[in-house]
Amino acid sequence: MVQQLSLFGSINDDGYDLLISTLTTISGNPPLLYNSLCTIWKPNPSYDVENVNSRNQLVEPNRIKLSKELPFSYLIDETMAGKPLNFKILKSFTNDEIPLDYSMTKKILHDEVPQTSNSNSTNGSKNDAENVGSDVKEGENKNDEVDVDMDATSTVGNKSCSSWSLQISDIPAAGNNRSVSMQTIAETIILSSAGENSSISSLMNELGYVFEFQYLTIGVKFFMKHGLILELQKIWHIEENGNSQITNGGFLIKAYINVSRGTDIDRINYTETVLMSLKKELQGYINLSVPDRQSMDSRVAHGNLLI
Amino acid sequence: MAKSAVIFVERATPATLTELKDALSNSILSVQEPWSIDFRTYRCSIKNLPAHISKLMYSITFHHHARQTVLIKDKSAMVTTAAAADIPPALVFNGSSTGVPESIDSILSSKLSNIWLQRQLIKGDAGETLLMDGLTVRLVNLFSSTGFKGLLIELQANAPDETADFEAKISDIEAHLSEIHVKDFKTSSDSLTPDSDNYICDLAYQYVRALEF
Repeated sequence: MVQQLSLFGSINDDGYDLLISTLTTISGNPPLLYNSLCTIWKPNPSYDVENVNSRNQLVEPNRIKLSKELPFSYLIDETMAGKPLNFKILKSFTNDEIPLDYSMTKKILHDEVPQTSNSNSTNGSKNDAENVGSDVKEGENKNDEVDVDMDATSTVGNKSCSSWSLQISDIPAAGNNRSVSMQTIAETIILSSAGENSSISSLMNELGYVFEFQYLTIGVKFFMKHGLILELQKIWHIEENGNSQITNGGFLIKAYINVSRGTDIDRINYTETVLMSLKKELQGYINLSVPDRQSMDSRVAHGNLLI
Repeated sequence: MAKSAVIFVERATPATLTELKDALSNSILSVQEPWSIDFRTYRCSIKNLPAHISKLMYSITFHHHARQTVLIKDKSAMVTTAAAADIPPALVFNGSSTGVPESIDSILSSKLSNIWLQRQLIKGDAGETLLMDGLTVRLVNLFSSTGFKGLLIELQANAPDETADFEAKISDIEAHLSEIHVKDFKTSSDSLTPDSDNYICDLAYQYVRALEF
């Protein structure tokens, strides 16, 4: 159970360049381009699921979030293909258009994953966030413009497409005078699958869940001190009848820190101060605030979307 | 791809393990570190589940195979991990993963306990790992909350052997079992799909086949 402490804000498309250079100065690190596909699953509505378990404890049906990274080749069109993959490419995404469409995500969710050997998944070294960040940074490092070291030519059936992160989030902690948003996240990692129906979609169906909606995030992130991560995001709804950008005309800013144990009160308090000092540093420029906790409620009965 | 098989001796006593080890002792090359296993059965508590959908799901945690947990439902398998070191780096980098995963069992028994109910937990702790010629033999006594369950033998070919060769080695172990007057056992060397080569999933499926009562 991870505690995620976060603050949110937004800027216009016009302010992007200035913010990038400001944040590069503050963090001392260059911006790193990333993307993620999030798919949201809900308990199958045709099943009669109760709100209590066998011990008569209240367990409200929650949505499940499955997310993973996509190869950038899925996300850029011909006009961008020649450009280096760095933070500047985000400025090309100003409207609803994104090459990733519903049929492609459907393929990702329904196609059986390529069979991968399990034995080789264990030799990975310790990979904490900073570590990974530095792996990506290995490329050219001039003028704070870093190309993302991701193979833009990788094709469908890439082995990396078989692992997903599975998360269930609680509603953020209540309280009127909260200075940051605090949310508990339970997570496990799906490494691979096998058997007759081994697509991620049919595995979720076996668990009693069905697909609800999905969104794509492309953004840049800064790794800062004290485990603080700051992200600038462009978000798209990927739907059957076309994509729509939720962040039209601007960027969503998310500053967050993960605390690995919810019982570590000292760490949580310290983390809160780190976030508050970032808020103070950016005061008057960007207004970082606590989002409405209702909008981050993933319980099914309460009908809210995650985003 | 290495082959595996699982033998479950239901009518055994806790001492059968030692007896079998004695019977095998002439061909043991070395004794390796102990191993353990957790085998959980879940039952779906959805009342209006269509009749053709199985209500049972199994989760097998292999402490000796990188602590991976395999979920088996019908003939599908899903491999999950709770080890931070095994998370694909890309998932941590893009923020999909917080880097602190927990086991699928703790999610099933907390967030999904309104759908999945844990029926049984069978544990095998501190089992023996014996290295033999071309074969790793793992022996463990299984216990559930009600007491001793039986002797479990996991066989793993050390090299991608020919099927016939491995079959011969299984029969060899079975012969040793007969030698110590153990007759009632169940062997499974099935694989999930005929062309599947996912070692851990096949092994988990063999556990389910051998332990299914």
